[in-house]
Amino acid sequence: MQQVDSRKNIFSIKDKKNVKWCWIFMLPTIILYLIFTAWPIFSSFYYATMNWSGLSVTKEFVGLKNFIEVAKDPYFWSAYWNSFKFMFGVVPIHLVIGLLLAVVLNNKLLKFAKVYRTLFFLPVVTTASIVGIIMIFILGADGPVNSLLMSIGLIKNPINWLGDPKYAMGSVILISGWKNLGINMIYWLAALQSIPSELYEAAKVDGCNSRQIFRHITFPLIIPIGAVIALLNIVGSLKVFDIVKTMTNGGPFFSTDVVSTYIYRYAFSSEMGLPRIGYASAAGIFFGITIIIVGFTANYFKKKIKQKSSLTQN
Amino acid sequence: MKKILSILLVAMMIVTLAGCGSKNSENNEKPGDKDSTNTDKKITLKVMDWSDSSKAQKEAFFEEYKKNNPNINIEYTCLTMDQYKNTILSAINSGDAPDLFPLPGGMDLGSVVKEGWFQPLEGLVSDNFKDTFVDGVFKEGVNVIDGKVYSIPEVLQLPNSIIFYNKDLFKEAGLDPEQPPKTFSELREYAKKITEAGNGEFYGIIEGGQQVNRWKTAAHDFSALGGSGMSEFSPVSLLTGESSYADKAMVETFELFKGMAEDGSYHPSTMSIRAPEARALFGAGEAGFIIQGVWCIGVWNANNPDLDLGIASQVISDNGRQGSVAMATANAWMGISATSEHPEEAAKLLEALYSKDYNYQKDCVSDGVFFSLVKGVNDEYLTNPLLKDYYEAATSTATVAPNPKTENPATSQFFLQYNDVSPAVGDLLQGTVAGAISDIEGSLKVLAEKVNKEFDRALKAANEKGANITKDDFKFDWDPMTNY
Repeated sequence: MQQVDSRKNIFSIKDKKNVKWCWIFMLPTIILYLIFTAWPIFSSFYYATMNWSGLSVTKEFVGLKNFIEVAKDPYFWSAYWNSFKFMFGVVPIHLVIGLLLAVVLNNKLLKFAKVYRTLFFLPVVTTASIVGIIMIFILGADGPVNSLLMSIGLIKNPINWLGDPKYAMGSVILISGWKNLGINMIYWLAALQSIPSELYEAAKVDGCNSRQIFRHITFPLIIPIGAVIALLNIVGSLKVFDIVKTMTNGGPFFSTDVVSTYIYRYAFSSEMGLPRIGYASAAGIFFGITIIIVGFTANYFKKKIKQKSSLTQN
Repeated sequence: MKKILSILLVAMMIVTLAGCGSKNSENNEKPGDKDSTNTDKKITLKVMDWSDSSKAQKEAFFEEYKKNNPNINIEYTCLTMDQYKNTILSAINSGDAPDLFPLPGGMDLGSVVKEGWFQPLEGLVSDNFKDTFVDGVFKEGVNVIDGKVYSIPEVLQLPNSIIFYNKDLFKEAGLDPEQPPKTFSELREYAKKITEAGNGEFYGIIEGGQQVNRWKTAAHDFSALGGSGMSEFSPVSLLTGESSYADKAMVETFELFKGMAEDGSYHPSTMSIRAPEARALFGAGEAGFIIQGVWCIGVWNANNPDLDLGIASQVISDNGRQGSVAMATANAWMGISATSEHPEEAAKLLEALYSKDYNYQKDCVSDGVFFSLVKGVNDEYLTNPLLKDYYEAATSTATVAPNPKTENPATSQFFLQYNDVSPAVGDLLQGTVAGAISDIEGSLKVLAEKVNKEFDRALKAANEKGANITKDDFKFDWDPMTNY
């Protein structure tokens, strides 16, 4: 008995030691997190209260002036809504088409399924800025898209897909949707493959057709994972920058200007004298809060969906 | 066993960390050592600019210079104007500025000198260097700050809103190639005729539509001929001291560009390309007109020898000419970085760029790239007839305009305070041509109000900093049809 007790003691001492080691091993990550994530967030709160170019030595404290100016700028709100427009355009593409592709490619009878998966995944690993630059040529006035549409008689004159404010946002949404389709397809595939095959077999024995199987087995079981995919996509697409920056730079005339390009324009580039990092920080905080709210809301719904589906499963 | 393992792990970590440390300290020492022993051997000077039209001549010059100075290595980077601005701002921010770099367009030298971007050239260049240039090149407030020269202009600055046209396309459209358009309605009509004759093969006009500065130049210069008093020197009219963006001259200018866009006269690529691409497409015969600067001539001479080029002044409103394009006698371009490790070598390279001992100035003039500021170079080497045409076209509509900064250097505090409003006139003209703005008068009125408001705010802020200036420092008693 005594022996056992002393062993217990040894374990608890060991546990304590392990905890210490855990902390030591976590230390590098914590330090990096503090330097590269926490510190910039806190310092941007500080910069947002300053009238500062980011380059000069002199900083002037202006209180909430930058926030008020951001809130009063109609072009900030235009960029703000454009970010949401982009999100509402891209997320359905990723969720719906991504799922359709995953269902098709999950079919074990499909020949070359792996090849197709690779093909759809290829744009994901390509750098967004390179995709953006190539798309400028493909969608340009004398690019292949226009030649094709003209040769089949759909349009008479070439359309500048990225240079016309009527089409620019739609074009950016389509390209971005296509580019990140592959990763969403993989998420969905993972979800599909997590469903036990016995369920399908049982359904087949009961005489269900494939539509019924999808409607009553696959869909309810992957919905909780779908909610996570939706959350990732919503937050990710609200923060879009690279593809917009390279394809349209927010233009023509701010029609594709999203909050990230708006912030970039004030913080780093400057058609207008010295940059204004203070103002850009204020805009960043403004939008950061929005993303947090959207994220929490989406997370709330995700949890609800999970609860609901676990209830139905039980 | 576990204990031993963890001790081993920690030991490994310490060793790797220490390894990093020792590596770093070695690295820290090595360059210093190298420098001290190899100073006479090899120095690398970094040069960056956006002068793509004189790139070939500049690269030849650098080669020549390196041959004569074997201890110097030159890293030259030529970017587009937009790229340059972003790159140089982040380079300065990170303390990694090139040794020689120009003042980005739209920025005030006085402001950036206060920010510590450049160092004065006094003491670095030879005493008679300033005498190399024609008169009126150095002006307090423009490239001289508190009596010290910080920046050398690149070229003799002439307006860069000159109309280039393709004579072959004129003929195809049934137009007389020796009779370029003179008025707004003629330009619009000719562009339309060329577009119709082109039938999708070529169009009336092309522009580097992504570059806001190109639209801004056109808006300023075309409206200045209608009496707007707008210039690069001041956010407000030099004639009234108030913003003239909502005035008739500016509205008419906007309507001209809108009209051409509505006619379908713009090359369909216009809104998604930059100036160099637009220049190339014009050179390839895809557009009848382009509004550009003298630097294009050299590029077309080299790349499109078959291009039959016509050169004409800016067009004027159908109501007649009421003013002139503002011309500067002095401006700011290249300076030596305040953080340069080799300012003396950089100064020598800068001197050589303007020296007659090297071929750069004369090559650029004879190739039709620019008009030189170096005394005697234009007289000797200006043989290119197109360059002569350009000079005539540009000077016939331009006059020397007053510059608030040179008239009263105290106004530099104002420019330090002034934040240009966004969207600016270039954005608005871009938006108009793209079809995103339909209410021209309304949006120009909003712009004018914003500019006046920001002007008053900056003036007040400058005076709070002790500038002691008034609105009158921006308003000049000047007949815009004559030199100031």
